[in-house]
Amino acid sequence: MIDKKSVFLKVVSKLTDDKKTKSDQPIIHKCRVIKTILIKLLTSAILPYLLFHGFSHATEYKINGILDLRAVSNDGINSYLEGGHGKYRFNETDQLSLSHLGVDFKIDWENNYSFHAVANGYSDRTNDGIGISEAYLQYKGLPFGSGLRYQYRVGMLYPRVSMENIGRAWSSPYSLSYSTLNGWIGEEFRYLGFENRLVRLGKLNQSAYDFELGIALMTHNDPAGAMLAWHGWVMTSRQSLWNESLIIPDFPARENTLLRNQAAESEPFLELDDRIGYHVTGEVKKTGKGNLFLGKYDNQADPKVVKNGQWGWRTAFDHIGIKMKISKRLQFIGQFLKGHTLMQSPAGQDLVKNDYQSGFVMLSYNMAPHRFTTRLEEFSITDNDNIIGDNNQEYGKAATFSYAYRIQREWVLHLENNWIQSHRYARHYHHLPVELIERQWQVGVRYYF
Amino acid sequence: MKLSHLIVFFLSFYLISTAISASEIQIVDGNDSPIEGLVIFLTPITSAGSDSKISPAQKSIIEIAQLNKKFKPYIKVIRKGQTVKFINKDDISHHIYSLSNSKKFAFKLKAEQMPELVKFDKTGAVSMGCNIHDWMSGHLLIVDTPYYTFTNSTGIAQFNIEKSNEYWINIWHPQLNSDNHLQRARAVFPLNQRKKIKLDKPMLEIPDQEQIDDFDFLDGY
Repeated sequence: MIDKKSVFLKVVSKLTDDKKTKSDQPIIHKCRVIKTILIKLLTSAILPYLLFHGFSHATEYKINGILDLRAVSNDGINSYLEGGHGKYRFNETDQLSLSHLGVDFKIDWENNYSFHAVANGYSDRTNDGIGISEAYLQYKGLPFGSGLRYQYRVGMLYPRVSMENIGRAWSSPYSLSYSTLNGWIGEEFRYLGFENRLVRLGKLNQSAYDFELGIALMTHNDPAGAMLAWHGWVMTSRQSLWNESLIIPDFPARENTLLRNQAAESEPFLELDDRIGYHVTGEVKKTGKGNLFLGKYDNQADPKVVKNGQWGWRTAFDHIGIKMKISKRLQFIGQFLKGHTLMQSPAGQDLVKNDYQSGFVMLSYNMAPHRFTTRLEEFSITDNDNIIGDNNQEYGKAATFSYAYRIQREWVLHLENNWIQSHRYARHYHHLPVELIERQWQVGVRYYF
Repeated sequence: MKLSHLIVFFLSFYLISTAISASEIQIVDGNDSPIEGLVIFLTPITSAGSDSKISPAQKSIIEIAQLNKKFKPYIKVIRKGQTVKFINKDDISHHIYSLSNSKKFAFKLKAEQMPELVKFDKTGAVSMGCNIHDWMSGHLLIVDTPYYTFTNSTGIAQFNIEKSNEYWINIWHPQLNSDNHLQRARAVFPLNQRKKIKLDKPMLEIPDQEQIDDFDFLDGY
């Protein structure tokens, strides 16, 4: 028990220490109360309570995970992970890789509380990494007689957007590569915050429908939007780790405009302005049939703030998704996201001002042990600022055909073909074709534990 | 005629005659279509006629399983005072609860854990769910009568009652859209002929105890 406690405390202290290092940088802060309140609440109040009272209840520990080994062949250009404009996470020369090792550590108490920490490791030769991607405390109460149930999560969280990343460690069981829409969520979105959900269960009200309202308040996601602007939409299966820096591709305006103050790498999970962002979601669900999910996200970042080369990007978007069971074997998912982002000079000049959107439709046919999935996507970025040498304009289409064969319960073999056709002016800065088709084959073996 | 033939003849006659003597109730909807799977239980109108005999089957421990993330069976009828054994046959945890006034409970059932035993001392309906898997639902009806059964595919329920008495015919189903999910009629048993009862209210759709995502290894995202 003591060992488990100390491991748990180490995880918690690692999470908080890492952010201390960043916030100890010599930066003038007007107010740090809001910024640290969630961490303090988590570490000084809730977790100690659970450690010393929660352990007196029956406690269940679980370690689950996913191991994903992949062989890849593509005709793309240098991967976005290396600062290139390639839309895949692998380079042409990469052949075999540990594509994903995700471990979900969970403590479950009898009193409706649980703690989750998800660690991810990648050894793919483009951008190896190991670290934490999620860590949170969850409370999920029993419903009241009225069918209402309150639940919350507090900690380092994904905003709930994706309808395909439902598997272990945020993997997608449908395909090896995520849609461009959810790939962006995996790359630039995570926050420290407090997510509340109120659910009305239909079965306790003689209704076939469940309703849910979610409100999340968040910090530490101010630079989100930078990578989308500068490398565009990508089709990836790489989730950013909490302390990761992401390489920004070169473009001329980084030398001769105020954008020269931008650091070479973006750190998406920083709090720069002590403003609290929000994410509101709503969901209607019919048990076993499907659900409609929509939300509004706004990080409320101050677009004029820049600290140590990291800018606040005012990034806001609306998203909508539908998941439907068309027949016993056929499932449909459609998601659409549309929003805008803005970063400015301290004087208020627009440096990057983009509108963007991405959507996909997906059909997945399950004839156990076989599963066939097709996903079609369309995406764009509209560059609305006047900065020369930083054209973020983009339009593209993508298609994915994925076949999965379940060898045993825990072992799944995947074969996948990805195709992206895109028009992106910024490739011209690297003497690459503006109009480009990138193709990729992937063979993956996944082991779930 | 051989003796064996005679025995077969009389035995058949006996069986047929007892079958005919069983009282039959048929439940139909507004379109006269029979409804299967409704619970029918009889309660004497006067307490003088109450019959508290309990068959060995009605004394035994009833099993309700959690299998493939479903309650199995979906509906179970038990006698007051009977014990139910909740057994998790999945390799994941469940969090079973009831919010019903007649019996409130909540417990977690881990995979391969010993079954949880719950005794039901009050009559009434108990709706159960799983707080981890919202699509799971199961129902218990606790009755204080030996006469209970389900309607078959032709909407018929049979009761063998020899002693003449007047009973409430209680029709119950969690998706019966009436007060307390119950409709009642009265009749003197044994019945002379099949009694047909039309439901006053339509049945609601029985929810699929199925999640939309047919994958294992989902982590609640």
